[in-house]
Parts: sequence; C-alpha cells; structure tokens
Amino acid sequence: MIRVRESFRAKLLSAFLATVGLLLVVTFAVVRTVTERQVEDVAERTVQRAGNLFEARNQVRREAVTVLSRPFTETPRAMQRLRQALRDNDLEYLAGELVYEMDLQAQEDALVVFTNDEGRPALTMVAGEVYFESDPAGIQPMAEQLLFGDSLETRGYRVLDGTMYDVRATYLEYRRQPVGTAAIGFPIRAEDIEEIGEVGGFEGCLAHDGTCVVSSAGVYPELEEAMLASVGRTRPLRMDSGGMEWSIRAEPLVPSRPGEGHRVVAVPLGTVLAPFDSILRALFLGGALALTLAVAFGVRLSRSLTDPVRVLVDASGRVAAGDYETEVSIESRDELGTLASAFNDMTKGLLMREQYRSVLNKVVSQDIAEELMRGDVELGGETRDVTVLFADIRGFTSLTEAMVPHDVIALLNECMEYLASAVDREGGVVDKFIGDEIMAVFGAPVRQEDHAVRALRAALLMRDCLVDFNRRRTERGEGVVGLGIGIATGRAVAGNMGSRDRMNYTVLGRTVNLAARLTSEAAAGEIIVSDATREAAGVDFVATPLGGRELKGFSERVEVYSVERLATGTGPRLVRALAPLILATALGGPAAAPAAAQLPTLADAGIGYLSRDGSVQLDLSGRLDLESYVFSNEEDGLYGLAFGSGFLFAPRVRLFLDTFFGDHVYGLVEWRGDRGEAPTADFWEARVEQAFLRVTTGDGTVSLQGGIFASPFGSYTQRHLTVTDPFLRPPLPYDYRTVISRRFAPRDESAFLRWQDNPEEWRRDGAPPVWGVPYQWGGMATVTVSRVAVRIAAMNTPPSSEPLDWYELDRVDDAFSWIAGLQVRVSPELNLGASYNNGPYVPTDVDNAPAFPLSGTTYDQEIWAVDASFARGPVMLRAEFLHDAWDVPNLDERAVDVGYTFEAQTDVAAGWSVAARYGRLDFRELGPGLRAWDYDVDRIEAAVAYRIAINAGVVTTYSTTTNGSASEPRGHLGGVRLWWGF
Amino acid sequence: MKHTSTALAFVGSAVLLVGPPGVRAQATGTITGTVTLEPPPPPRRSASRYAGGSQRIQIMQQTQAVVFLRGAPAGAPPSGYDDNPQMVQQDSLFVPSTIALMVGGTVDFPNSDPIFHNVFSYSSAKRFDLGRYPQGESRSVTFDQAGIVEVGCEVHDHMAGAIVVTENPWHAVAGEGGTFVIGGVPPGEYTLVAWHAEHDQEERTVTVEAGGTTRIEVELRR
Repeated sequence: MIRVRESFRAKLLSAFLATVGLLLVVTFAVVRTVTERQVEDVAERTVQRAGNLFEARNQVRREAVTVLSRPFTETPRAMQRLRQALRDNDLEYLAGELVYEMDLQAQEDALVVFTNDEGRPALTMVAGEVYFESDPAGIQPMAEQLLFGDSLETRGYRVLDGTMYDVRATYLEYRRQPVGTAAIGFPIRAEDIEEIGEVGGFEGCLAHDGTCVVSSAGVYPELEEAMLASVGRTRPLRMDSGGMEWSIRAEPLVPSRPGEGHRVVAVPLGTVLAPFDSILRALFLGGALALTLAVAFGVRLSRSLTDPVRVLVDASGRVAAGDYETEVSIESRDELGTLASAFNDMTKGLLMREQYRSVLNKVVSQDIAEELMRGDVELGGETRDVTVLFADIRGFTSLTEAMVPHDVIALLNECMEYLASAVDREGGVVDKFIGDEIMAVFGAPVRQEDHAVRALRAALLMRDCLVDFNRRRTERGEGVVGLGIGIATGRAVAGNMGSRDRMNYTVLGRTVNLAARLTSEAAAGEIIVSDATREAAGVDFVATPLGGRELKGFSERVEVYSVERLATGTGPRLVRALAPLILATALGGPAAAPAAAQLPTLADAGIGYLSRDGSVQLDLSGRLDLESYVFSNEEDGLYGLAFGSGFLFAPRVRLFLDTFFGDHVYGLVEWRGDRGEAPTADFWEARVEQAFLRVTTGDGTVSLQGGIFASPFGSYTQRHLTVTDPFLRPPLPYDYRTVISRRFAPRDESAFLRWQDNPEEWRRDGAPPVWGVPYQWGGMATVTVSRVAVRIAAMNTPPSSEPLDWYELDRVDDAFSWIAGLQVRVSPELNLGASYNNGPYVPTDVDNAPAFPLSGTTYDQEIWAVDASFARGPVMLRAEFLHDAWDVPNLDERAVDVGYTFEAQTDVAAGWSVAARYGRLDFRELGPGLRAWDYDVDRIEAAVAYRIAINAGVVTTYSTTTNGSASEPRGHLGGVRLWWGF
Repeated sequence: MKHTSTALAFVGSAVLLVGPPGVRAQATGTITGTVTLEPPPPPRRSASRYAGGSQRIQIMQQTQAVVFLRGAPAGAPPSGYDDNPQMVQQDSLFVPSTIALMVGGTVDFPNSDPIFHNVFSYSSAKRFDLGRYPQGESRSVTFDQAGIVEVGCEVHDHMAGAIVVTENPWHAVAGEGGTFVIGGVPPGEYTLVAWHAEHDQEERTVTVEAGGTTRIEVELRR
C-alpha cells in the first residue's frame, strides 16, 4: 500500500529531478565550453599585449641609452678617439670619459662594451665595474656578426651577475674603415615588468638558464616554478595555485636565439572566469531552487494523486474488512472523482448484499448462508451421513437466578460465542441455539468425510475453551458453568424446512434425537458419543465405553462412550495453549495501523545484533549528507577552505555503531567519510570521528564517559546538528565556540545522552555533529537529579579554531581544559543552561603571524556562556550569550569578546519549517596592542527546511556576514543539504 | 698666404732646392726616392649615420706619406727650415694635409672658410682640441714630442690632416707620385722610416755618403 504511494512519488520526483538535472548539466557544459574558449582567447590576447608592452617599454629605455651612446659612437672625434685608444691599447682615458658621460646622463646602470675591429672586447663597463680585454657580458659573437657580416646593428639579451640587459651593438667605422663595435645595454628591472604587468593585467618573468632573472612582485615560488616549466612548451600551461588559475606562456626573447632567454607571461584567469563563476553560481542557486521547487511541486502533485488514491485504498481496506458503509468523498472533478463515485456505487451494492448476508447469517449458519447466496445448495431435502453435536450449559439456571435479564443474555451470548467458534473452527454448522443448548451439524450441507472426527475435536475444543472461560470468570469472582456434550452419527434428512416465507435449513431424524438424548446423559464436563460416532472417528480418540443405555424414544439399548481426549498426547495441550489465540483470531484481529512514510534504514534490513538474553545490543545506523555552499567571498574562499571558486561541495557519510552492554554500559563509535575535517576541494578522508564509552548508574543519576567526543561546553553546540536544527552550519571560524543548537535530538530532554535514550531514534534524526574542530579526547561526569543536570569534564586541546589549521597544527595532548556545565529544565517548555570553560587554546597559523610561536604552544582562555531555549507547539526560540577572555601572545592584557545569538524556528506546514537567526561577535577591551584582533562579526541567517520523509529532508540556508575588519568571514553564503538517515 | 694643392709639389721641391745651401754642401748627401702606396680597398659600406656635415663631400681627404730618418743627430735645422708652418682649413680641407716638423715646431691652424671648424687630435704624441672658431681666426699648437699626430675636424669627418713630429730636421713629405727628396743629410748610416696614415709603417737602413745621393724605393702595405 505504502510502497505504491512511495513508488509513484519517487517516479514523479525522478522525472522532475531528471529534467531539471539534465537542463542544469547541459547548461553547465555549455557555460564551461564557452568559458574555456573565452579563457584561451583572453590569455592569447594578454600575451600579445604583454609582448607589445614589453617592446614599447624597452624602446623607451633604448632611446635613453642611445643618447648616452651617441657621444661615443656617432662623431668622428669619438671614432678617432676610439681608434686611437685601441691602437695605443690605452683605454683608461676612454673609460674615464665614459664614466663621466654615464653620470651626466644618469645612466650609471648601463652596460657599455667596446670591441676592436676583430670583435674582441677591449673595454667593458657594467654596474660600476670596468673590465679590460675580457668579455664578461659575452658580446664577442654580436661584434663578430657585425664586423664580418653585413648588418650595422644587432640586438640581444645578456645576463650578467643576475641582471638581464637589453643590448644593442653597433658597427663603428672611421673614415669608412672599421674601428670596432660598441654595445650598449640597459638592465631590465622588476619595476619594468611590474608596470607593464599592471597595465596589461598579468604577471611576468624573464627566464634564462632555468631561473627567473627578473620577475614581477606578484610572482611567488609556486607560480615561478610553473612559469619556468612553461619554457620550451608550445602550448600554454594551465595552473591552479593559491586559489588562482593561471594561463602561462613563454616566448623566446629573440626567436632565432632561444638561449638568450624567454619572456614568460602568466595571465590570471580570475577576472576572466569571474563572470562565468557568477553564472555558475547563479546556475547553482537557480538549480538548487529549481530542484527544491521540483521536489516540493512533485510532492504536491504526487499528493494530489496519491492522497485520493490513499483515501480509496483506505476505503477499500475498510470494505475488505467488512465496513460496507464506507463512503469516500473526493472533491476533484478529474478521473479520480469519477473513480470515487464509482467506488461509492460499488460499496452501496456491496452493502446491500452484505445486509442480506448478515440477515441470513443470523438466521442460518454462515456456511449455509454462503451456500445459499451462491445458490449451490439444493433446498429440496436429501439424506446424508452426518454427525450431530449437542452441547448443553449446566448450572445455567441456578447461576442466573439472581441476575438481571440483560446480564443473563450477555452471559449466554458470551458462552455461545465460545461454543459456536469451536464449531466454526472445525468446519461444522451451528444449526440452532435452543435456550442454553447449541446444536451443531457436521457433514451437511457441505459434505465432509471426517464429520465424526470434526465433531469430536470441536467437542474437546469446547471443553477446553470452557475451562478458559471459567478461569476468567473465577478471576472476576463470578460463578462457573458446566457443559454436557452429546454426539451421534448416522443418517439424517437435511433440507430447507418451513413455510414459503420463512425457511430453515436443518437436519431431522433419529441421529438428531439420539444426540439430544446423549447430551441429557452427559454429566457436566462429559462428552458422550454413540457407538456409530466412535466407530466413524476411529482410533483418534481415547474413549471409555459406558455400556448400553436405555434411552427414551429408543427401543434398543444404545452403546455409549465417554471421550477423554485425542489419542496423540500433545494435541490437547497444544490446542489448549493456542485456544485463546485461536479465539482472538476468530473474534476478529486487530486493525493494521498504516505505517508513516520512511526511507529504508539499516535496521529495516535487519542489520544489528541482539544477544539471546538481551544483554548485548549492537545497532548500526548512518546518515548521508549531500551539502553544497556558494559564497560571494571568493578571495578568502569559504572562510579559508575553498579559495577562488566560490563553490564548495561537501558531502559526507557517517556510520554509527551504538553498543549496549547490560543496563549500564554504553559505547559509541562514529566513522565518517568526507572531504576532511576542514573540507578541501581535492581531498577525501575516512576516519573515526568519535569513540567513547559511558557507564551509567541504574537510575541514570550519575554517568561517567571517556574517549574521543565533542567538548560538552554549552547546553547546545554549533557543531552538533540535529534535524530540528534548520540551519546549515558552514565551517565558520569564531562560530566553533558558540553553544546554540541542540547536541542531541529533542527527545533527550537533559541534552545529554543517557541510558534511557533511544539511540536509533536520534541517530536517524541526525543528532551527530557535522563541522567542528577535530574532536578532543577526555573524560566527563554527569549528574542528573530531577530537572537539573550538572556536568564536569576535562578535554585536551584541539588545533586552532581556523579550519585551515586543522591539518597544519597538532592537537595538544597534554594541555587540558576544564569544562563545567549546568542545565535546568524549568518546565517542559523552558530550558536554561550555563557553561564554563577554562583552559588552553592554540592560536591560529593561518596568517603565519610571525609573533606567534606555533604548534604546541598554547595560551589561556576563559569562556562563560548562558543559554536558554523555549519551545511551545511548533515554535522554538533560543538565545545565548557568551563571554570570552583570552591571552594574546606577547601581550600582558587579555582580549575580551562577547558573542550573542538569537534564533527562532517554526513549522509552517506539514514537513516545512522556517528559521531565522541573528548572531554578533563583539570584540571588547582591545587596547592599542590588540587592535588587530578587532574583528566584529554580524551575521543574519535564514533557512527553510523540508522533510521528505521521517528520515530524509532538504535544508536550504542563506546568510550574510559583515565583518569589522577586512578579514573574513564576510559576504553572502547560500547552502543546500539533502540528508537521509539510514 | 695662400696655398693650393698644386703648390704641394712646389713646396717639396723648394725643400730640395733649399736643402743644400752650399756652405756645407760638400759634407752632406741626399736621400731621394718614391713611396708607393697600396691602393685602398673599396670601402665596405657607408655608415650614413656619420653624416654630420660631410654629406655634401663624399671624398675622404687623404694625407700624404712622410719619410724621416731615425737615429740621425739632431743638429740644428738647416737655415730656412720652417719651424712654424701653417695648416689652413680651406674649402673644408686641411691645406696642406700633411706636415713634417721637428720637435719644438709650432703649427698654425687658420680658418679661411666661412664656416666654423674645430681641430683636434687624440694622438698620444699630442692630444689637443682647439675648439670651434670662425673665419679669419687662427690657433696654434707647439709639438714638443716626436710622434704622429693625426688631426681631425669635429664636424667634418672627411677632413684629415697629419703632422709628423720628428727628432731631426731630415724629413720629407712625399709629393706627386710619392717622390721625396731629403737633402743635407750628414753622412752616416740611418734608419729611414716611411709612414702613411692608412698603411703599415716601413723602415729601411740607408747609408748616406757625403755628396752622394741614395735612392730608396718603399712600398707601403695596408
């Protein structure tokens, strides 16, 4: 019944989801392709622009050094001077003049080389150094090219002492005769690359011999490595680093001489991808909305079909159970309406028929009535071999003398009901009730070969039933009754007898009379049968011969027997044991309650263990969360976790093993598979998240717990999501301490799991934690008296509150925090709590704050918190206030921050709930040294949740966060989660 | 005083004529001969960016070969020895283009052109720069060290002059066809040096006899 409904809804939902999903996938694919094309295009253009800008800027610098070179290369005097100097091998003087000129032109950082007419450098000046007759800059090949070739000028790049020079070499002649060459170069500085990088929107580097000789300031080691790796590749290199995507391309500075170096340009694709990311984000949000709508719409649509169907199915069930007065009222005018009215017509017909049958049943036996209704029975009359049974209640008259008539009839009816059901059970027919006597026939109108056995078994059953009946009467303090039974077998005339208007199917003849007489002979509790009956029944019964009897109306003596029991020993006991059950079944079973909609669970599949004596119980349950976030603050990522993309898909699956040993020991192990405690984009991990053992006293007053579990700070804690928590709680720093949100399912009024709680229930409801700092280990003691719960715990120190740190820093195993808590259930509606935490914390490593000695170093922290929750009907309100004082490294004064949160939540329709939340973190008492920590945070959150089934649902959330500093968390965040507790 | 290029031969012959003044004619000899110059290779190309003011005149002024004796006694210069010759800047040329001069002599550089000229030298024997000066003005340089002084003009790179400063007065600038005559040389064995700006210098041993004439043929290679 339920399966059909579920299946139709599933089909409808599948169709909706598949359509929306396909649309999303196709759109996604198209956007992705267009993005890729656009990225290639932009990268290509940026690289071209980079080349042009580089050339243009170098041209300017080149012209500046040309001014410097002119006095040394462009006058006859200079030529003569050079020639003379080369001839005399006396370049000191020339060097002096050069230095003078370079100072004059403010070109001290230029590279100047003069060679003789054979190309050998005679004078090299660079970076304030003068070299004679050596070639530190490797100019000779350029000079030889000029002197022995045809060109007058050549250009190239030279690296000297880690500086790259753009060099121009010129052929020099005096009076048409070669004098030598002059090479003038200027250094290419990081500022040059940075300026054109800023204009062109890229990072650049000049690579030579496997190193970046010059690079813009934005180039960090990882990027530099990739840039060097791109040298020599023909295709652009794509790289994802530090949350940024890059397209990197290298081109030789001089195409014909790649050995002189490469110009490498890294184009950041963030700005290119940003619009597409926005589209993707919009697509995701729209998709999530569409999916939610599809689910909601599908559910509604399926309801509009399944609800009438269920009404019809329920009605059919009632009709099947015999309630023919059932009428369905379906308002809709569609096919279902037509079906409903057809159904109503049908039940009317059935009702009529049933009324006839019921009348018949009351008049004649049910079997006969049915045979009559079917028209199978010949009513003319026939001779049959039958067994007739009379049962007579003894002591009835004396018992009922003092009773009012109504009670007499009630007693009689109750008694006859028992007797008649025994007849029915053996396939006999109750022919009639005669006062306190019942007459039953076996073998007519339906032929039965074993009518004698059936009659005997019915008699024994009657006797046993009466024992049970009397026992119950005795318990009620009422008098008992006896029963005399007589059975005879033989031929009898069977047929409808009576007037035309009123007929009665019955048997007549000697056998009937004999049975009636034998009944008179039987004492209370005795079963007297005729010889013929005993013979027909064979050896299945233990019977005592009573000898021949003279009976009134019978000329011959009749041999009679008293039947004790069935021949097989166990039979009667078994029948006796089953008698109440049989009777209960005969009198109508309990109506089957319709099950609530629920997706399959491990318990359904029979997974689990229960020992024979019930002392050891293992329950396995799980929960699947498919959770995604989109957020505006791409730069910081999802609070440090997913840089650059603006999207995080964080699915997780959890398995819980609840173990009960006896009545006082409980253990829990949780395995979790997800993208890590701090989810990262390309990471999967499975681990034991919590594992603890708890011993509880018999009455549950005191419990001791040890192992790995979440800090018990607060009556509620952010880390512990329940299904009643309508919010998604992304991994936000600063939120880890906040105490609102129930740790366990609402059934657990004390907020601490106790022996009495039903773990299976709250597992499925999603009690376990989701985000949080890596779980600590420690011990906890809880005392619960009446409405007050007090707890005290010692827990070791987790890594800092920043998710990014969780894989960088270690838990500090030898530094413990003391945690104390008090919770008072003022009324079933109002709960108040107070918490205290005093102990070490590990400062964050996220910013690599140099002043912080990290990993293993802790500072003290003291937190107070109070919280309250109020629930009435569908409305739930919560509030908390938290005061946190913490030591700051290298400073004497303590920083204080105050956080408070308000939440309201209500159910709006079947399965739907909405919630809103405001939270603020206010940093106080920050002296001059602490200003850097002034990160006031305001957050407004809204959420909508829908329950698809008891153990599955969808939660969507939106939050906006503003921050007093430029640091995260800040921005908009949307999230959606699909969950299934199994 | 005006000189023309045709006057160069005359000057040379004047030295020849003046050389043996008769008083010690019997005690001296004469060296005569020709200096042949290997022709210059065609210029490889023209680096036009040295245009300057020389664009109009494509022909490079050539200096002449000079021969002089090394190792001869200094002695007093013969009478009539001109130790203050002129090198005029005329029609954007140095006239004469070549002067041989004994140490201590002074050369005047008058400018007879209507444009500014600038005479300079970077030669190690005498480094000087007379700066720019107009028509009619003259500046002088005294050469106190033997050696070759090549002279140029700052603005006209086709102009070229040479002043060969020698230790003794026995020298001659080769004339038309490279002929030269050094007269009044005291008898003895000397080293004759033949020099030209764009050729490798050559040296020969010469023996001068009183009253005799020694012929020397020298070919200078580039």
